[in-house]
Amino acid sequence: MIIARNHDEPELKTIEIVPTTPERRAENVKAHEEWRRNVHWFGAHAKEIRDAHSGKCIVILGQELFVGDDPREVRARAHAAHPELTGGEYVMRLSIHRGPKVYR
Amino acid sequence: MIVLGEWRTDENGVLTPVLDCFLLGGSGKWLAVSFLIDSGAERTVLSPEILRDLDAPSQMSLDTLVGIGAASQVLTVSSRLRLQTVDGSEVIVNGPFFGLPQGREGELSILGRDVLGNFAAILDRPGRVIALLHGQHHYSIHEAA
Repeated sequence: MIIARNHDEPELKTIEIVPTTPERRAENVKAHEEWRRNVHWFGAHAKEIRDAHSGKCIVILGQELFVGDDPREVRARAHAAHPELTGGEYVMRLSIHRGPKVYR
Repeated sequence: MIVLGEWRTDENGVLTPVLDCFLLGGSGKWLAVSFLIDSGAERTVLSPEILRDLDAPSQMSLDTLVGIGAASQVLTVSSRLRLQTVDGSEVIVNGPFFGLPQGREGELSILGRDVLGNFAAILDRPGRVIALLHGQHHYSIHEAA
C-alpha cells in the first residue's frame, strides 16, 4: 500500500498509443517472448540463485544467469554474451530479506 | 489493446505479479524494468536502484508517500514509461513518476493505480494470467456449466 500525500497531480497518468512499424512490432514480440522465457527460467532456479547470490544484481538473458554488483555492467556482459538478442533481459536485485514482503 | 504480464516466482518462492516495461533514461535510451503490479499503491514508484540506473532528470518532490512505516520523501523523475501490447504495438505512459532516493535493496519498482487505472486489470493467479485491457478489448465473466 502506498498513499501519496500533498499531491496536486491528476489521479491518472495520460497514455498515448504510438504508431509502431511491423518490423518494430515483430522485434517487440520477440523481446517479450525472451523476457517470459527468462522470467520462467528464473522461477525454476530461484532458490538456488537466491542461496548463492543474495544481495547481488542478476541479469538473465538467453536463459543464462549473469551476476554482479552494478546493473549496467551486468547488463552489458549479458548482451555481449548474447549479441543475437536485442532485448528481453530479466533484471533484478536479489533481496536479502527472507520473510513476506509488503511494499510500504 | 492487451498488455500481458507474468506471475513470477520470486527468490523466496512466492508468486508475484510483474509487468515488463521500459523507462526512458537520461541518455535517451529505454531501460527494461520489471514492475510489481500493485493495485494498493496510489502512485507508481521507481526503486532506488532503477533510479540510479535510469539516470533521468529528477528533483525533490513536495509530496511524500506513506504506507507501512513513516512517510518517505520522494523524487519527481522526468521519464516516460513504455508498455507493449501482445502484437508488439507500443503504448506510452507520460510521467513524471515518483522515485525513492533510498530504500531496501531488492525492492521492485511499483506500478500503481495512476497507471493501472487506465486499464481493466486482470490478476488471475489460479489461471496464471495477468492482462491489462484498454480500448476495444474487454472481458466478460462466465459461470461454468
